[in-house]
Amino acid sequence: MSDRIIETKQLTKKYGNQTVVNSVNLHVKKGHIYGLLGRNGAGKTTIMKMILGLTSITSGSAEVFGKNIKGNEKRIYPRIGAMIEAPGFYPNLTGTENLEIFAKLRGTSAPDAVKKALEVVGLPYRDKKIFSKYSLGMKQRLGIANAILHDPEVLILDEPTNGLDPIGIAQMREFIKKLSTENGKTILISSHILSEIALLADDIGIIDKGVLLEESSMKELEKKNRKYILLQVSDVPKTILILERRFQVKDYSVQDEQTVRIYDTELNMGEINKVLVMEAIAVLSSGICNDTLEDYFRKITGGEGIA
Amino acid sequence: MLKLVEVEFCKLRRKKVMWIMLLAAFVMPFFAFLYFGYLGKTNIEPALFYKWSAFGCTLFLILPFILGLLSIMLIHDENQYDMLKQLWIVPVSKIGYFFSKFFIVFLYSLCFMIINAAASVLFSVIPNYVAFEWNSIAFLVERCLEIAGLTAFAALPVLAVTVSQKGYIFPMCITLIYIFAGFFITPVNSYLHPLSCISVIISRGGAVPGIALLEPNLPLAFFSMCVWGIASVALAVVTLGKRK
Amino acid sequence: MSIYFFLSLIFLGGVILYLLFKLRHIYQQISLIKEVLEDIKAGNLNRRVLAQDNDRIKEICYDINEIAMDSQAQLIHQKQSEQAYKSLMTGLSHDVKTPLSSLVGYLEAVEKGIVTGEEKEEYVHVAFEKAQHLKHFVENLFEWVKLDAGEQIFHFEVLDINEISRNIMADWIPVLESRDFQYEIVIPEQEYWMFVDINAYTRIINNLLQNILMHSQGDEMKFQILENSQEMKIILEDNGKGISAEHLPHIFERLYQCDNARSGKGNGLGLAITKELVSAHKGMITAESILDKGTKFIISLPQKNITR
Repeated sequence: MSDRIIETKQLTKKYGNQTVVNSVNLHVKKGHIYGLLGRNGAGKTTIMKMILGLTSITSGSAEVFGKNIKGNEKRIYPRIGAMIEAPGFYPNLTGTENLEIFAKLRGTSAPDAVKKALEVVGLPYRDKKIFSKYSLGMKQRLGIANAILHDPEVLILDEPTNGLDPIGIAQMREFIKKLSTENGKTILISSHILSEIALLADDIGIIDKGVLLEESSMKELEKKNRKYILLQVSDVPKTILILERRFQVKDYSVQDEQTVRIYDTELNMGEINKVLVMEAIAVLSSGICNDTLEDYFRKITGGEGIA
Repeated sequence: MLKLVEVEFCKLRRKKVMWIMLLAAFVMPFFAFLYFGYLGKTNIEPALFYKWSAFGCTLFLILPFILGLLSIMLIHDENQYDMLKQLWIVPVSKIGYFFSKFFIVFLYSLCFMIINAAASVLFSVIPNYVAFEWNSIAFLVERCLEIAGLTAFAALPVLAVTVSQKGYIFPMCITLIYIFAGFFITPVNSYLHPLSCISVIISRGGAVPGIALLEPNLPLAFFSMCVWGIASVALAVVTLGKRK
Repeated sequence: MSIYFFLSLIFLGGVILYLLFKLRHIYQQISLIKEVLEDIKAGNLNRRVLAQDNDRIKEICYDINEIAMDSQAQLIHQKQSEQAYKSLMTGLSHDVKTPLSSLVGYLEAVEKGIVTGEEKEEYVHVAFEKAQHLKHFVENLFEWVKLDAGEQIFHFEVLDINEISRNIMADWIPVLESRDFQYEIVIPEQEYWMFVDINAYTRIINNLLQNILMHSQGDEMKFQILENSQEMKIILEDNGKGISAEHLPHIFERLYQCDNARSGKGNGLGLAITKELVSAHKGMITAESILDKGTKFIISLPQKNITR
C-alpha cells in the first residue's frame, strides 16, 4: 500500500472557458489530516467533488487508494466517508432512520453501527425528532455521523464547521482530531478559516482562485511562524548570564551549544547585540522570527489574506 | 435491487400526501354513483357503471395525473434536499435508482386501482344500481389490475423527464401535456400514445361498451408502449449519467 | 395436466435462478472478504468489510472488523506512548540544559573574577539556588520514573487519616501565614481509618499545597475532608488565576506547564507524581477550574482501597 491515499495530478476543471480548478496536485498522506484552505469560491468543493467522482474532470486525474474512481465505484466508495457542502437528508425521517437508510444501502461494519455513529457525534439514538426540525449544528453532526457510519479509511469533509457555534466548532475539532489520532483515519478537510486548519491539520494546501499555491506540512509552516528571537552566539552560558542580569530575561530556552531562543520579543535587539559584542561574545546571527501564519498567508495569496 | 426498494419504502415514512392522494381513487366511483342516482335507473349493465367509475376518467386523467405527481414527489424531494450526491457515493447504481422509483410507482398504481375497484363495487352494489355477481366483480378487478400495471408503464416518460430535471415545474407541465395529449390523440390514432394504447388493451373484445374500437390491434398497442418505455429508460439513464 | 406440469417447471426454474443468484452473491462476498483480509494482512488495519443486513456471513464480517479495530487501537496506543516518551526525552533535555547553562554562566563569572565583592556573593547565591532547583527537578524526575515504572514500594498501614491530615496541615500553617494566605481547614473530629502509605499521603497533600502556593497567585485556600462509609474526599480550593479549559485536561501529564514559561518555577512533575500516588491508593484525582476565580482539586479515596 502506498503512502498516499489521495493523489491528484494536474487536476483541472473548466466551466465553459472559466477555469475553476487549475492543475492541482494534491497529496494526502495516510493517517494525516490534510487541510485545504482557501476563500469561499476558491475551488475547494469542486476539487473534493472531482475526487469523489461527483463532477466530471476536465483534464488530469484524481486517484483514491491508487485507483481511479471511475470504474472502481463498488470497491472504492465503501472505503470513503464524505460530507460535501451542507449535507442533505430526508426531512420526514428522524436522524436514526436517515442513518439506517444509509446503513442498509452500504452495509455495516459493526452490529450497532448507527448507534455508535450517533454517539460519537453526540446525537441521541432513536430520537423522535425528525430531520426538518433539526438545528443547523445537529444537521452538520448528522452529516458527519453518516460519513463515519461505515468506519471508512478516508474522510472527505467539506467545511464541517460551517454554521456551528464556537462551542460546536471546538467540539468538532476535538472530534476530528480524535478520529485521526485514535483511529488512524486519513482526513481531507476544507475550510476558509485559517485558525481552524492551523489547529487541526498535519499537512496544508492553500488554494486561491483554483490554483494550489502551496502544499506543505504544518510543522514546516510553524517553523516559519513562531514568535521568538533567535540568537546564535559563541558562548551560551555567558550570554544567558548577560540576558538575565542586564535585561531581566526569564523566558528563554537553550537549543544547543550555540543557539538560544528568547520568547520575550519586546526586547531591544540592537542593545542586546551591542552588549554581547562588548562582552566579547561573538554573535553569529540574531533575528526575530515573528511571521505569524496569517502574515504568511497574506504573503502567498498576494496581499489579501484569508479571513 | 431489493435493498433499494426496501429503502424506498423507508423514505416514504410520515408522508401524509401519499395517503391523501389515494383518496382520488374514490372520485370517479362517487361521480358514477351521483350520475346514475340522478338518472334513477336500477339494474344497470355492470360494465356501463364500471366504464364510468374505473375505465373512463380514472384511466385517462386521474391515475396518470396522480402517478405523475407521485413521480415528481419521489424524485424532486430527493433532489431538493441534495440527497443524490450522498446516494451516488454509497454507491447506488443509477439504473437501480431509477427502477426502484419505478417500482414504487408501480405498487402505488396497484394500490390505487384496487381501491378504485373496491369503491366501484361499493358505490354500485350498495345503492343497488348493479346486481351483485362475482363474475362482473372478477372482471372489474382483473381489468383494474391491468390498468394499474399498464399505467405505471405509461408513467415511465414522466419519471424519466423528472429524473433529468432539477426543478419540478417543467416535469409538471410535461405531465399535464402528456395526459391531455393522450386524451386528444386517442380519437385520431390510438397507437401513438401509451395512454390510448391502454384504452385499446382494456376495451379488447368489446368488453367495455362505448370505447370498443373497430379493429383493435393488441400487438401494435403493446409494441407502442414498449417503444415509449424503452425510450424513457434510455433517456433516464443518459441524463442521470450526465448529471452529477 | 400439462398446465400443472408447465407451472411446476416454471416454479422450479425460478427456484434455480434464485439459488444461482444467491450463490453468486455469496461468492462475491467471500472474494471481497478475501481482498479485505489480504489488505489487513498487509498492514492496513483501517480496512473494514461491510456486511449487508441479510447476509449469512455478517457475523464473520463483524468479527474481522472487530479484530482489525482492536489491533489498530493497540498499535495506535503503542505509537502514542512511544511518541510521549520521545517528547518526554526532548523536554527533559531542554529542562536540564536551560538551568544548567545559566548555572555555568554564573559560576564562570565568579571563577574568572569578573564579579567581586557583594556582587560575587550574590552570584554564588543565585548559582546555588539554580543548582538546588536542578537537584530538586532531578529528584522529582527520579521519583516519577520510579512511580511510572511501578518500582516504588509502598508501606501501607491502617491509620487515622484525619489525624495525619491534621499533622500535615499543622506544618503548613506557618508557611501559609508567612505568604499572607487566608486559609480554612475543615477536618472531621472523629477517627477515620484508612489503609494508606503515610509518606505517599503526605506527599500528595504537600504537592497540591505547593502547587497552590507557587502557581495559583491567589490569597485564599480551603482544605476540606469529607467522609462517608464508602470513600473519603479531600477538596483543596484556591481563589487564584485558575486554569483555562484548554490546559485543564493536561495538567496531570508529565512535564506539562500551563504558562509555557520556562521561567524556572516548578517543573511540571508535581501533579503527575500526585496523580500516580493517588492511583496507587486506588483513588482518583480531578480538577475543576474557573479562570480568574480559582481552582479546585478533588481527591477521592475509597475506604476499602486495599484488599486485606
